[in-house]
Amino acid sequence: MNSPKKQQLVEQELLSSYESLYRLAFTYVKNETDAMDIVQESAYKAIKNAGSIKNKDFIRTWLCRIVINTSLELLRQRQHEFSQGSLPDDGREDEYCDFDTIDALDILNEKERAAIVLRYFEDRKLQEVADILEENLSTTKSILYRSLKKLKIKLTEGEFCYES
Amino acid sequence: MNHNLEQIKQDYQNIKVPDSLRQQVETSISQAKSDLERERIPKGLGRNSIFRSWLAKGCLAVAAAALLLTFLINISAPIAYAMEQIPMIGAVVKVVNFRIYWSQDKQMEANIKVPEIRVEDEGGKEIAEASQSMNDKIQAYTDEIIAAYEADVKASGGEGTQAVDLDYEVVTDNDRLFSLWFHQTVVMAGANQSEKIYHIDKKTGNMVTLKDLFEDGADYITPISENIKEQMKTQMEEDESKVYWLDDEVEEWNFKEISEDVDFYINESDKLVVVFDEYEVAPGYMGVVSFEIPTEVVEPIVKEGYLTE
Repeated sequence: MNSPKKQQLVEQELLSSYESLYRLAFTYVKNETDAMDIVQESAYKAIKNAGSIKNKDFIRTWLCRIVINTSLELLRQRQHEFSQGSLPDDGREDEYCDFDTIDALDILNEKERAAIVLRYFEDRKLQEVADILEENLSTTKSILYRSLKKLKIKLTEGEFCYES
Repeated sequence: MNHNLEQIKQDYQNIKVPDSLRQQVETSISQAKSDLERERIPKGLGRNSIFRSWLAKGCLAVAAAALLLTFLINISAPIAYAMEQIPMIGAVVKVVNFRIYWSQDKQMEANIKVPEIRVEDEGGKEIAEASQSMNDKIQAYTDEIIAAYEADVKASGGEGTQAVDLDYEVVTDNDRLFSLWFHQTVVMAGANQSEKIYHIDKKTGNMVTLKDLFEDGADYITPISENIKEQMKTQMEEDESKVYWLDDEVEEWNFKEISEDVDFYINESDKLVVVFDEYEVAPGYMGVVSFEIPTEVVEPIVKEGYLTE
Protein backbone atom coordinates (compact mmCIF):
# COMPACT_ATOMS: atom_id res chain seq x y z
CA MET A 1 0.00 0.00 0.00
CA ASN A 2 1.71 3.22 -1.09
CA SER A 3 1.11 6.64 0.39
CA PRO A 4 -1.33 8.10 -2.16
CA LYS A 5 -3.36 4.91 -1.85
CA LYS A 6 -3.45 5.19 1.95
CA GLN A 7 -4.44 8.81 1.68
CA GLN A 8 -7.28 7.90 -0.61
CA LEU A 9 -8.55 5.23 1.77
CA VAL A 10 -8.42 7.65 4.70
CA GLU A 11 -10.31 10.21 2.65
CA GLN A 12 -13.02 7.71 1.76
CA GLU A 13 -13.40 6.66 5.37
CA LEU A 14 -13.57 10.29 6.51
CA LEU A 15 -16.30 11.11 4.04
CA SER A 16 -18.32 8.07 4.98
CA SER A 17 -17.98 8.34 8.75
CA TYR A 18 -17.66 12.05 9.48
CA GLU A 19 -21.15 12.08 10.97
CA SER A 20 -20.39 9.50 13.60
CA LEU A 21 -17.03 11.15 14.27
CA TYR A 22 -18.95 14.37 14.88
CA ARG A 23 -21.29 12.69 17.35
CA LEU A 24 -18.35 11.13 19.15
CA ALA A 25 -16.69 14.55 19.48
CA PHE A 26 -20.00 16.04 20.59
CA THR A 27 -20.24 13.68 23.57
CA TYR A 28 -17.01 15.24 24.82
CA VAL A 29 -17.43 18.94 24.04
CA LYS A 30 -21.25 19.20 24.01
CA ASN A 31 -21.50 22.01 21.52
CA GLU A 32 -21.68 22.34 17.79
CA THR A 33 -18.84 24.77 17.17
CA ASP A 34 -16.23 22.80 19.07
CA ALA A 35 -17.38 19.47 17.72
CA MET A 36 -17.08 20.80 14.16
CA ASP A 37 -13.62 22.15 14.86
CA ILE A 38 -12.55 18.81 16.22
CA VAL A 39 -13.78 16.91 13.19
CA GLN A 40 -12.03 19.31 10.85
CA GLU A 41 -8.83 19.23 12.83
CA SER A 42 -8.98 15.44 12.96
CA ALA A 43 -9.57 15.18 9.22
CA TYR A 44 -6.54 17.36 8.66
CA LYS A 45 -4.36 15.30 10.99
CA ALA A 46 -5.58 12.06 9.47
CA ILE A 47 -4.73 13.02 5.90
CA LYS A 48 -1.39 14.48 6.95
CA ASN A 49 -0.44 11.28 8.73
CA ALA A 50 -2.08 8.79 6.42
CA GLY A 51 1.36 7.57 5.41
CA SER A 52 1.93 6.10 8.85
CA ILE A 53 -0.95 3.62 8.56
CA LYS A 54 0.19 0.06 8.34
CA ASN A 55 -3.05 -1.84 8.09
CA LYS A 56 -6.00 -0.47 6.16
CA ASP A 57 -8.45 -2.37 8.38
CA PHE A 58 -7.48 -0.08 11.20
CA ILE A 59 -8.31 3.19 9.50
CA ARG A 60 -11.70 3.49 11.18
CA THR A 61 -10.25 2.64 14.58
CA TRP A 62 -7.46 5.09 14.03
CA LEU A 63 -9.82 7.92 13.08
CA CYS A 64 -11.82 7.42 16.27
CA ARG A 65 -8.67 7.60 18.29
CA ILE A 66 -7.66 10.86 16.61
CA VAL A 67 -11.07 12.37 17.33
CA ILE A 68 -10.95 11.33 20.99
CA ASN A 69 -7.43 12.68 21.43
CA THR A 70 -8.30 15.93 19.70
CA SER A 71 -11.38 16.35 21.88
CA LEU A 72 -9.38 15.79 25.04
CA GLU A 73 -6.73 18.18 23.88
CA LEU A 74 -9.34 20.88 23.42
CA LEU A 75 -10.90 20.20 26.80
CA ARG A 76 -7.49 20.33 28.39
CA GLN A 77 -6.73 23.70 26.79
CA ARG A 78 -10.09 25.02 27.92
CA GLN A 79 -9.52 23.85 31.44
CA HIS A 80 -6.12 25.47 31.42
CA GLU A 81 -7.56 28.78 30.24
CA PHE A 82 -10.26 28.73 32.90
CA SER A 83 -8.07 27.56 35.70
CA GLN A 84 -5.78 30.51 35.99
CA GLY A 85 -6.43 31.21 39.62
CA SER A 86 -9.42 29.13 40.53
CA LEU A 87 -10.39 25.71 39.34
CA PRO A 88 -13.70 25.23 37.57
CA ASP A 89 -16.15 22.76 39.02
CA ASP A 90 -16.38 21.24 35.63
CA GLY A 91 -15.89 22.50 32.09
CA ARG A 92 -19.35 21.92 30.81
CA GLU A 93 -20.68 24.02 27.98
CA ASP A 94 -24.39 24.58 28.18
CA GLU A 95 -25.10 26.17 24.83
CA TYR A 96 -26.50 23.08 23.18
CA CYS A 97 -27.26 21.05 26.24
CA ASP A 98 -30.80 20.00 25.55
CA PHE A 99 -29.64 16.38 25.64
CA ASP A 100 -30.21 15.55 29.28
CA THR A 101 -29.48 11.93 28.84
CA ILE A 102 -26.19 12.59 27.07
CA ASP A 103 -25.16 14.62 30.07
CA ALA A 104 -25.60 11.42 32.02
CA LEU A 105 -22.39 10.27 30.33
CA ASP A 106 -20.52 12.97 32.26
CA ILE A 107 -20.29 10.61 35.15
CA LEU A 108 -17.92 8.45 33.12
CA ASN A 109 -14.23 9.12 32.63
CA GLU A 110 -12.76 9.51 29.15
CA LYS A 111 -12.16 5.84 28.50
CA GLU A 112 -15.46 4.72 29.91
CA ARG A 113 -17.34 7.24 27.85
CA ALA A 114 -15.59 6.23 24.64
CA ALA A 115 -16.26 2.59 25.45
CA ILE A 116 -20.00 3.13 25.96
CA VAL A 117 -20.42 5.34 22.90
CA LEU A 118 -18.51 3.06 20.58
CA ARG A 119 -19.89 -0.24 21.81
CA TYR A 120 -23.53 0.61 22.32
CA PHE A 121 -24.24 3.69 20.21
CA GLU A 122 -21.95 3.06 17.29
CA ASP A 123 -22.36 -0.71 17.55
CA ARG A 124 -18.68 -1.42 17.20
CA LYS A 125 -17.39 -4.88 17.93
CA LEU A 126 -15.84 -5.42 21.32
CA GLN A 127 -12.46 -6.08 19.72
CA GLU A 128 -12.65 -2.81 17.82
CA VAL A 129 -13.49 -0.88 20.98
CA ALA A 130 -10.50 -2.52 22.64
CA ASP A 131 -8.26 -1.45 19.76
CA ILE A 132 -9.44 2.14 19.95
CA LEU A 133 -8.90 2.26 23.69
CA GLU A 134 -5.58 0.45 23.34
CA GLU A 135 -6.66 -2.06 25.95
CA ASN A 136 -7.02 -5.82 25.85
CA LEU A 137 -10.40 -7.52 25.58
CA SER A 138 -10.90 -8.35 29.22
CA THR A 139 -9.92 -4.87 30.40
CA THR A 140 -12.33 -3.40 27.86
CA LYS A 141 -15.09 -5.68 29.13
CA SER A 142 -14.47 -4.57 32.67
CA ILE A 143 -14.41 -0.90 31.63
CA LEU A 144 -17.81 -1.41 29.98
CA TYR A 145 -19.12 -3.29 32.97
CA ARG A 146 -17.96 -0.60 35.35
CA SER A 147 -19.41 2.14 33.12
CA LEU A 148 -22.81 0.51 32.94
CA LYS A 149 -22.78 0.16 36.67
CA LYS A 150 -21.97 3.81 37.03
CA LEU A 151 -24.81 4.68 34.71
CA LYS A 152 -26.98 2.43 36.83
CA ILE A 153 -28.05 0.53 33.80
CA LYS A 154 -28.80 -3.07 34.40
CA LEU A 155 -28.31 -5.40 31.51
CA THR A 156 -28.55 -9.10 31.79
CA GLU A 157 -25.43 -11.15 31.46
CA GLY A 158 -26.58 -12.38 28.06
CA GLU A 159 -27.05 -8.94 26.64
CA PHE A 160 -23.68 -7.83 27.87
CA CYS A 161 -21.81 -10.66 26.18
CA TYR A 162 -23.68 -10.28 22.94
CA GLU A 163 -21.40 -9.69 19.96
CA SER A 164 -22.79 -7.87 16.97
CA MET B 1 -30.69 9.14 37.41
CA ASN B 2 -31.86 5.89 36.01
CA HIS B 3 -31.38 6.42 32.33
CA ASN B 4 -32.05 3.65 30.04
CA LEU B 5 -29.33 2.89 27.54
CA GLU B 6 -31.75 2.94 24.64
CA GLN B 7 -32.88 6.42 25.61
CA ILE B 8 -29.32 7.73 25.67
CA LYS B 9 -28.64 6.03 22.38
CA GLN B 10 -31.71 7.67 20.91
CA ASP B 11 -30.49 11.08 21.98
CA TYR B 12 -27.04 10.27 20.74
CA GLN B 13 -28.41 9.47 17.32
CA ASN B 14 -30.48 12.61 17.40
CA ILE B 15 -27.42 14.80 17.75
CA LYS B 16 -27.85 16.94 14.70
CA VAL B 17 -24.90 16.98 12.37
CA PRO B 18 -24.59 20.44 10.80
CA ASP B 19 -25.14 20.47 7.06
CA SER B 20 -21.98 22.40 6.45
CA LEU B 21 -19.81 19.77 8.10
CA ARG B 22 -19.24 17.67 5.02
CA GLN B 23 -17.95 20.61 3.07
CA GLN B 24 -15.69 21.61 5.93
CA VAL B 25 -14.26 18.13 6.17
CA GLU B 26 -13.56 18.26 2.45
CA THR B 27 -11.81 21.59 2.91
CA SER B 28 -9.66 20.15 5.69
CA ILE B 29 -8.77 17.21 3.49
CA SER B 30 -7.66 19.35 0.58
CA GLN B 31 -5.84 21.71 2.95
CA ALA B 32 -3.91 18.77 4.39
CA LYS B 33 -3.14 17.48 0.92
CA SER B 34 -1.77 20.76 -0.32
CA ASP B 35 0.28 21.21 2.85
CA LEU B 36 1.68 17.73 2.32
CA GLU B 37 2.53 18.58 -1.26
CA ARG B 38 4.51 21.59 -0.14
CA GLU B 39 6.36 19.61 2.48
CA ARG B 40 7.08 16.70 0.22
CA ILE B 41 10.84 16.72 0.72
CA PRO B 42 11.12 16.80 4.49
CA LYS B 43 8.07 14.79 5.35
CA GLY B 44 6.15 14.15 8.50
CA LEU B 45 6.24 17.41 10.39
CA GLY B 46 3.40 18.33 12.67
CA ARG B 47 0.79 20.86 11.77
CA ASN B 48 1.54 23.48 14.36
CA SER B 49 5.22 23.18 13.86
CA ILE B 50 7.41 26.22 13.63
CA PHE B 51 9.03 24.33 10.79
CA ARG B 52 6.10 25.16 8.60
CA SER B 53 6.89 28.81 8.43
CA TRP B 54 10.53 28.06 7.81
CA LEU B 55 9.58 25.79 4.98
CA ALA B 56 7.46 28.44 3.44
CA LYS B 57 10.51 30.64 3.38
CA GLY B 58 12.40 27.96 1.60
CA CYS B 59 14.73 26.73 4.32
CA LEU B 60 14.35 23.16 3.15
CA ALA B 61 17.89 22.08 3.87
CA VAL B 62 17.74 23.28 7.45
CA ALA B 63 14.48 21.57 8.23
CA ALA B 64 15.47 18.32 6.63
CA ALA B 65 18.53 18.12 8.79
CA ALA B 66 16.83 19.24 11.95
CA LEU B 67 13.95 16.89 12.57
CA LEU B 68 14.42 16.98 16.26
CA LEU B 69 15.36 20.23 17.87
CA THR B 70 15.67 21.04 21.50
CA PHE B 71 16.00 24.57 22.69
CA LEU B 72 16.82 25.97 26.04
CA ILE B 73 15.86 29.58 25.63
CA ASN B 74 16.92 32.13 28.17
CA ILE B 75 14.46 34.92 28.04
CA SER B 76 16.37 38.00 28.98
CA ALA B 77 16.43 38.46 32.71
CA PRO B 78 15.15 42.07 32.85
CA ILE B 79 11.97 41.19 30.99
CA ALA B 80 11.16 38.18 33.15
CA TYR B 81 12.05 40.23 36.19
CA ALA B 82 9.63 42.97 35.30
CA MET B 83 6.90 40.40 34.67
CA GLU B 84 7.18 38.56 37.94
CA GLN B 85 8.47 40.95 40.55
CA ILE B 86 6.25 41.31 43.55
CA PRO B 87 6.94 44.03 46.11
CA MET B 88 7.25 42.61 49.61
CA ILE B 89 7.81 43.52 53.19
CA GLY B 90 10.62 41.57 54.79
CA ALA B 91 12.24 38.91 52.69
CA VAL B 92 11.43 39.12 49.02
CA VAL B 93 11.00 36.09 46.85
CA LYS B 94 10.56 36.48 43.15
CA VAL B 95 10.79 34.70 39.88
CA VAL B 96 13.70 36.44 38.19
CA ASN B 97 14.10 34.40 35.09
CA PHE B 98 12.73 31.41 33.33
CA ARG B 99 14.01 29.03 30.76
CA ILE B 100 11.95 27.09 28.30
CA TYR B 101 12.73 23.56 27.34
CA TRP B 102 11.06 23.11 24.02
CA SER B 103 11.14 20.15 21.73
CA GLN B 104 9.02 19.14 18.82
CA ASP B 105 9.20 16.27 16.43
CA LYS B 106 6.31 14.92 14.37
CA GLN B 107 3.56 14.16 16.88
CA MET B 108 5.73 14.59 19.95
CA GLU B 109 6.04 17.86 21.71
CA ALA B 110 7.32 19.20 25.00
CA ASN B 111 6.98 22.71 26.34
CA ILE B 112 8.44 22.99 29.80
CA LYS B 113 8.90 26.24 31.66
CA VAL B 114 11.61 26.24 34.28
CA PRO B 115 11.42 29.28 36.56
CA GLU B 116 14.37 30.53 38.53
CA ILE B 117 13.69 32.21 41.81
CA ARG B 118 15.70 34.58 43.93
CA VAL B 119 15.32 35.14 47.65
CA GLU B 120 16.49 38.51 48.95
CA ASP B 121 16.66 40.07 52.37
CA GLU B 122 15.14 43.47 53.05
CA GLY B 123 18.19 45.26 51.72
CA GLY B 124 17.94 43.50 48.37
CA LYS B 125 20.90 41.23 49.02
CA GLU B 126 20.42 37.71 47.79
CA ILE B 127 20.14 34.95 50.37
CA ALA B 128 22.00 32.56 48.15
CA GLU B 129 21.42 29.44 50.16
CA ALA B 130 17.66 29.91 50.17
CA SER B 131 17.53 30.65 46.44
CA GLN B 132 19.64 27.66 45.69
CA SER B 133 17.68 25.15 47.72
CA MET B 134 14.44 26.16 46.01
CA ASN B 135 16.01 26.27 42.54
CA ASP B 136 17.59 22.86 43.07
CA LYS B 137 14.20 21.41 43.99
CA ILE B 138 12.58 23.00 40.96
CA GLN B 139 15.26 21.75 38.66
CA ALA B 140 15.20 18.22 40.02
CA TYR B 141 11.47 18.21 39.38
CA THR B 142 11.64 19.61 35.84
CA ASP B 143 14.64 17.42 34.95
CA GLU B 144 12.59 14.41 35.86
CA ILE B 145 9.77 15.50 33.54
CA ILE B 146 12.19 16.23 30.70
CA ALA B 147 13.95 12.90 31.18
CA ALA B 148 10.64 11.03 31.09
CA TYR B 149 9.70 12.80 27.87
CA GLU B 150 13.06 12.12 26.24
CA ALA B 151 12.85 8.48 27.25
CA ASP B 152 9.43 8.26 25.56
CA VAL B 153 10.78 9.87 22.39
CA LYS B 154 13.62 7.38 22.32
CA ALA B 155 11.42 4.39 23.08
CA SER B 156 8.99 5.22 20.29
CA GLY B 157 11.71 6.15 17.83
CA GLY B 158 10.07 9.57 17.59
CA GLU B 159 6.89 7.97 16.21
CA GLY B 160 4.80 8.37 19.33
CA THR B 161 2.00 10.81 20.03
CA GLN B 162 2.57 12.84 23.12
CA ALA B 163 2.43 16.40 24.32
CA VAL B 164 3.92 17.45 27.63
CA ASP B 165 3.29 20.91 28.96
CA LEU B 166 4.55 22.39 32.19
CA ASP B 167 3.57 25.83 33.36
CA TYR B 168 3.69 27.53 36.74
CA GLU B 169 2.09 30.32 38.69
CA VAL B 170 2.76 32.08 41.96
CA VAL B 171 -0.21 30.86 43.95
CA THR B 172 0.63 32.31 47.36
CA ASP B 173 2.74 35.31 48.22
CA ASN B 174 1.82 36.62 51.62
CA ASP B 175 3.88 37.82 54.56
CA ARG B 176 4.94 34.35 55.42
CA LEU B 177 4.86 32.06 52.41
CA PHE B 178 5.80 32.14 48.79
CA SER B 179 4.40 29.21 46.81
CA LEU B 180 4.92 28.18 43.22
CA TRP B 181 2.32 25.94 41.66
CA PHE B 182 3.34 23.78 38.72
CA HIS B 183 0.75 22.43 36.30
CA GLN B 184 1.87 19.50 34.27
CA THR B 185 -0.26 18.13 31.47
CA VAL B 186 0.61 15.02 29.52
CA VAL B 187 -1.51 14.15 26.53
CA MET B 188 -1.12 10.69 25.05
CA ALA B 189 -4.04 8.34 24.48
CA GLY B 190 -5.79 10.44 27.13
CA ALA B 191 -4.88 13.60 28.92
CA ASN B 192 -3.46 13.54 32.38
CA GLN B 193 -2.89 16.46 34.61
CA SER B 194 -0.69 16.56 37.67
CA GLU B 195 0.22 19.31 40.04
CA LYS B 196 3.16 20.16 42.23
CA ILE B 197 3.50 23.10 44.59
CA TYR B 198 6.69 24.28 46.25
CA HIS B 199 6.79 26.63 49.22
CA ILE B 200 9.40 28.76 50.80
CA ASP B 201 9.10 30.28 54.28
CA LYS B 202 10.02 33.93 54.04
CA LYS B 203 10.93 34.12 57.71
CA THR B 204 13.40 31.27 57.67
CA GLY B 205 14.23 30.88 53.99
CA ASN B 206 13.47 27.16 54.28
CA MET B 207 11.40 25.02 51.98
CA VAL B 208 8.14 24.15 53.63
CA THR B 209 6.09 20.97 53.44
CA LEU B 210 2.67 20.40 54.94
CA LYS B 211 4.17 18.86 58.05
CA ASP B 212 6.12 22.05 58.76
CA LEU B 213 2.93 24.04 59.20
CA PHE B 214 2.10 22.05 62.31
CA GLU B 215 3.57 21.50 65.75
CA ASP B 216 6.22 18.80 65.83
CA GLY B 217 4.75 15.36 66.18
CA ALA B 218 1.15 16.55 65.88
CA ASP B 219 -1.25 14.38 63.89
CA TYR B 220 -2.40 16.64 61.09
CA ILE B 221 -3.17 13.84 58.66
CA THR B 222 -6.25 12.52 60.47
CA PRO B 223 -8.18 15.78 61.03
CA ILE B 224 -7.49 17.01 57.49
CA SER B 225 -8.37 13.67 55.89
CA GLU B 226 -11.57 13.34 57.88
CA ASN B 227 -12.61 16.83 56.91
CA ILE B 228 -11.96 16.10 53.23
CA LYS B 229 -14.05 12.94 53.44
CA GLU B 230 -16.91 14.91 54.94
CA GLN B 231 -16.65 17.49 52.18
CA MET B 232 -16.61 14.77 49.51
CA LYS B 233 -19.71 13.22 51.03
CA THR B 234 -21.60 16.50 51.25
CA GLN B 235 -20.68 17.47 47.71
CA MET B 236 -21.84 14.13 46.33
CA GLU B 237 -25.11 14.35 48.23
CA GLU B 238 -25.78 17.86 46.99
CA ASP B 239 -24.73 17.36 43.41
CA GLU B 240 -25.25 14.09 41.60
CA SER B 241 -22.73 14.93 38.92
CA LYS B 242 -19.91 14.92 41.43
CA VAL B 243 -18.12 11.70 42.15
CA TYR B 244 -15.28 11.04 44.53
CA TRP B 245 -13.84 7.65 45.25
CA LEU B 246 -14.98 7.29 48.80
CA ASP B 247 -17.19 4.23 48.94
CA ASP B 248 -16.42 2.76 45.57
CA GLU B 249 -16.62 -0.99 45.22
CA VAL B 250 -13.03 -0.93 44.04
CA GLU B 251 -11.61 -0.68 47.53
CA GLU B 252 -8.07 0.25 46.49
CA TRP B 253 -9.29 3.42 44.75
CA ASN B 254 -10.98 4.80 47.80
CA PHE B 255 -9.60 7.86 49.44
CA LYS B 256 -8.42 6.98 52.91
CA GLU B 257 -6.10 9.70 53.99
CA ILE B 258 -3.84 12.40 52.58
CA SER B 259 -0.21 11.52 52.06
CA GLU B 260 2.52 13.46 53.82
CA ASP B 261 3.61 15.09 50.58
CA VAL B 262 0.13 16.03 49.36
CA ASP B 263 0.03 19.32 47.45
CA PHE B 264 -1.41 22.33 49.21
CA TYR B 265 -1.37 26.08 49.26
CA ILE B 266 -2.64 28.90 51.41
CA ASN B 267 -5.34 30.88 49.66
CA GLU B 268 -6.18 34.56 49.84
CA SER B 269 -8.34 34.11 52.91
CA ASP B 270 -5.43 32.39 54.68
CA LYS B 271 -7.08 29.00 54.50
CA LEU B 272 -5.25 25.78 53.84
CA VAL B 273 -6.24 24.26 50.49
CA VAL B 274 -5.38 20.65 49.68
CA VAL B 275 -4.99 19.81 45.99
CA PHE B 276 -5.32 16.39 44.36
CA ASP B 277 -4.13 15.34 40.92
CA GLU B 278 -6.53 14.19 38.29
CA TYR B 279 -7.56 10.57 38.98
CA GLU B 280 -6.10 10.70 42.47
CA VAL B 281 -9.37 10.82 44.38
CA ALA B 282 -11.99 11.10 41.65
CA PRO B 283 -12.77 10.02 38.09
CA GLY B 284 -10.94 11.88 35.35
CA TYR B 285 -13.82 14.13 34.37
CA MET B 286 -13.62 15.81 37.79
CA GLY B 287 -10.17 17.08 36.83
CA VAL B 288 -7.82 18.44 39.46
CA VAL B 289 -9.82 18.80 42.67
CA SER B 290 -9.12 20.86 45.75
CA PHE B 291 -10.57 21.24 49.23
CA GLU B 292 -10.43 24.26 51.47
CA ILE B 293 -9.88 23.13 55.03
CA PRO B 294 -11.70 25.22 57.66
CA THR B 295 -9.06 26.60 59.97
CA GLU B 296 -10.80 25.35 63.13
CA VAL B 297 -10.07 21.78 62.01
CA VAL B 298 -6.33 22.31 62.45
CA GLU B 299 -6.34 25.26 64.81
CA PRO B 300 -5.04 23.39 67.89
CA ILE B 301 -1.94 22.13 66.08
CA VAL B 302 -1.04 24.75 63.51
CA LYS B 303 2.09 26.82 64.11
CA GLU B 304 1.63 30.52 64.45
CA GLY B 305 1.76 32.73 61.41
CA TYR B 306 0.84 30.31 58.64
CA LEU B 307 -2.94 30.41 58.60
CA THR B 308 -3.37 33.92 59.94
CA GLU B 309 -2.16 37.29 58.93
